[in-house]
Amino acid sequence: MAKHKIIMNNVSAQIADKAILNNISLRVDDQEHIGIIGPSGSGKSSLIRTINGLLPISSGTIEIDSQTITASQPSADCSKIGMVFQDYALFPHLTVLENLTLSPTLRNENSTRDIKDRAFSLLDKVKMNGFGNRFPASLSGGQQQRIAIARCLMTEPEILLLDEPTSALDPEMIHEVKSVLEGLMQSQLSIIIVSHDISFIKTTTNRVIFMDEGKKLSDQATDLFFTQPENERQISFIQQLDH
Amino acid sequence: MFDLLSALDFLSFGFYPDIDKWRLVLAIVIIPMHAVLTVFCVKNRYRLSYCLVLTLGLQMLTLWLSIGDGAILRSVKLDELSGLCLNLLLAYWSIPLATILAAGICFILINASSKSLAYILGLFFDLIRSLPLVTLLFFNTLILPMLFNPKLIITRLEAAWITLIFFLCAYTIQIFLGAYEAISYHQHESAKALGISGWKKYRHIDLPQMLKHSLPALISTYIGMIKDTTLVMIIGLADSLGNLQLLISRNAYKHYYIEFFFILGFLFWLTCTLCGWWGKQLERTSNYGKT
Amino acid sequence: MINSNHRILSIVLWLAIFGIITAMISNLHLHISRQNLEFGFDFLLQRSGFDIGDTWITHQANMPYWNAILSGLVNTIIVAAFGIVIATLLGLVLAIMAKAPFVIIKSVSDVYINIFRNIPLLVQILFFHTLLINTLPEVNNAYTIGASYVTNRGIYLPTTSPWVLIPIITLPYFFITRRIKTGVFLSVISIGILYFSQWEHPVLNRFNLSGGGSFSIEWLALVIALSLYTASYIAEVMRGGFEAISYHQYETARALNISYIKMMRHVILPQAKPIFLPALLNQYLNLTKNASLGIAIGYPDFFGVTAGTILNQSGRALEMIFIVMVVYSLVNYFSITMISKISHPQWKRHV
Repeated sequence: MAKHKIIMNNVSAQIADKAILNNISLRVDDQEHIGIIGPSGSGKSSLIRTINGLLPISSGTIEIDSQTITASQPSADCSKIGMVFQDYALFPHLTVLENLTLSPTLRNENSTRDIKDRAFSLLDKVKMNGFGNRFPASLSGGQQQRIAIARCLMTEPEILLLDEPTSALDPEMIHEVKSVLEGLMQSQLSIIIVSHDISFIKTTTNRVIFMDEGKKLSDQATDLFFTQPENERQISFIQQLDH
Repeated sequence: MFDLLSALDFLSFGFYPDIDKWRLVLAIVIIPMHAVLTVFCVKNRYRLSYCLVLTLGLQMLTLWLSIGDGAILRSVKLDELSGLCLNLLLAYWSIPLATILAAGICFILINASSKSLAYILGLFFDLIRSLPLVTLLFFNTLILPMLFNPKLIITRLEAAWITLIFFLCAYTIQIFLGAYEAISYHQHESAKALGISGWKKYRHIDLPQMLKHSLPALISTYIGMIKDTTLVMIIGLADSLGNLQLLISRNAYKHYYIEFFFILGFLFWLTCTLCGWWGKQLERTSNYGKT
Repeated sequence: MINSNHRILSIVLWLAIFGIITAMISNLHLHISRQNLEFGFDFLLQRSGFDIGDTWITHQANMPYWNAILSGLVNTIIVAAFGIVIATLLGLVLAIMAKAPFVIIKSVSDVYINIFRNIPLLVQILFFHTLLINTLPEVNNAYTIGASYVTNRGIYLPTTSPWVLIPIITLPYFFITRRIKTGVFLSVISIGILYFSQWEHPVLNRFNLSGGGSFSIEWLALVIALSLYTASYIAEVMRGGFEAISYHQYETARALNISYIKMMRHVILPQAKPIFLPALLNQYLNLTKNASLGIAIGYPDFFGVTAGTILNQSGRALEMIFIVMVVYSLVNYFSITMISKISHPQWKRHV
């Protein structure tokens, strides 16, 4: 069981000479669900962006299965890593079905028939049956986010990165997306989720990482995180949450 | 004798042989048909490659109809192609080709791993944009025959055609690059997260959005191109304006110059207005579910 | 793998560009040596051997080629300057009309913009040229206005020393900035100068007019057509600027009971100006480039002189192409730099 899926060693990253990640080491096991929390601008999103290569790292190494990412060797094989963005980022010129099938079709992995079948079953899973021929612009935010989740599952990823999947949504829509995400959390994927929704993190993750100013301040099992905080910053953050 | 019909005939067909006029008429009729077909393709969301094949096919067809000499068709001299048909065909032969060329060059400019290559290409098209079209037309008729092998004879019509394509291409590239900047970075990120990159990303994600964003600017550039085809008169091609000048220099038509200018102006106005209307239709059909 | 593909693409393209340029240079070289041409700019100092009739800087046959180029350049600048002033004023009027609350006034502006934008500029230039030549009288029965003559060859005006013009040109500045006293004072002085200065009147001979200054009919046709054509574009640009301003501004102005013209002058225009200024300057650049179309009616502007007369006279095609390219690129480069400086957000903040 204790096979490491992702191993990050002393990873740092910067954007235009401003350090945003500072010497972070992290291990993610197979089928482990990890939540990352922390104040805005603490580098949570940047951390998961380094894993699928959206943000190049400046030092350290990231090992994903057998593949190693370093500063000089940035490109990763993204097919095992799926990512869901805060603002859905669906392709506006393609229909829902085309959004789902584009990436697998371009990689010629399966026959078109199989890809379509898979797309329909995933649409079913996110409760978006019958929306295949609609354009993203005609859907609500919650519907778009569910499509985005289905789209990233199309490539059959082993690791799932969720970057604040519910932050851009109205309260009503959050509910429908959360029910889909809860279904996902039952699955056998390694999942890293960045979210401000503490109750959701509490119920669905095994481990919580607390970050501030680009540093990893604590890394505890979920139940311990809220009951036995490790350091001052974390205590004040949790107190803020209660109010 | 004042003969309006023969004057109009001269304005629109010029020196094209009478027996072959049906060919020219057919070629001209293909242009609006192509425009309608394009709207149809966009509406039914056919693949870009089908549209490309359709466009190139129709271009070849009009070329063959108007100046080709196949087994069926008599040979027509290049010089005989004149009048308003020359304006319309020149515009039709340069607009799609320039757009396709510009889309290709934009791919290089966006994705080229060597910055110097992008710089050289950018500089070349900047130079074209900084010069007025007349100067380009004028000099290309002089200099293009010098730049190519002396055995290869480049006529004025071909020089004008090449010039128009590159001139339009330079402006289209700028429009496309602006449209590329307008694509949100989320699109690039999600493409990367899905493992789509390089030509596939350009073809399936960037280009369709660029075309949509740039449509209004593209259409006004196309209208500008239709108007600019009259400049070939200055290098001595017998386009509609050249024919008009010839016509009103004759004694019989001398006093009707206002009428002739109005007729020609109206024809250009009509063409440009139709092109603008076509652009509106295209914009409406490529609306992607937005209301 | 993707990166290596791109590298191959770059190398192939580099080779292609290099190959094309080499082939072209060798062909050019072949051509030059075959026709016994030579390349060099020293001929510019030689005697030109042709007159240019319609210039602001005199050019005669015994003057060198570079003087002809200079006078052509000055001609282009003058055409552009007149065109820009007229087109801007007309465009402004049309844009204000387009936002006017009366349907008739609005549709006049719409129709104007629609027609003049959709007819080729060259058609308009040739039309006005033909129209002026055919409607204005011959020299021997010219219209006379005071000491000036209007004929189908041009407008002939009495002239005096150009320095006299300086107070007259600066007059509007003082009135616009509301320094009325200085303005009145200057007007009195300039009327005095005009009255007492030495005037050279055009003299009507049997077949021609001599003396004085003139605007040729080509110049007139070119300026009219360029201004009318560009005005339609400028009107469109300005209208875009007006539309970019929140409708609250219009409503507030109406609520304060400000008249339409005053609202435009004091409320809308100052706000719209920084929005449409870059596009407006771009239209000025277009107008300047379009002045090269004067070659179609034989107006000796920069392009007409270099590519038309000098090229025919001396056969120096490559050199003339080089000069034209350099001059237009420089003009373009400086205008674009200026435009991008003006549209820079830091500048906007100061407005």
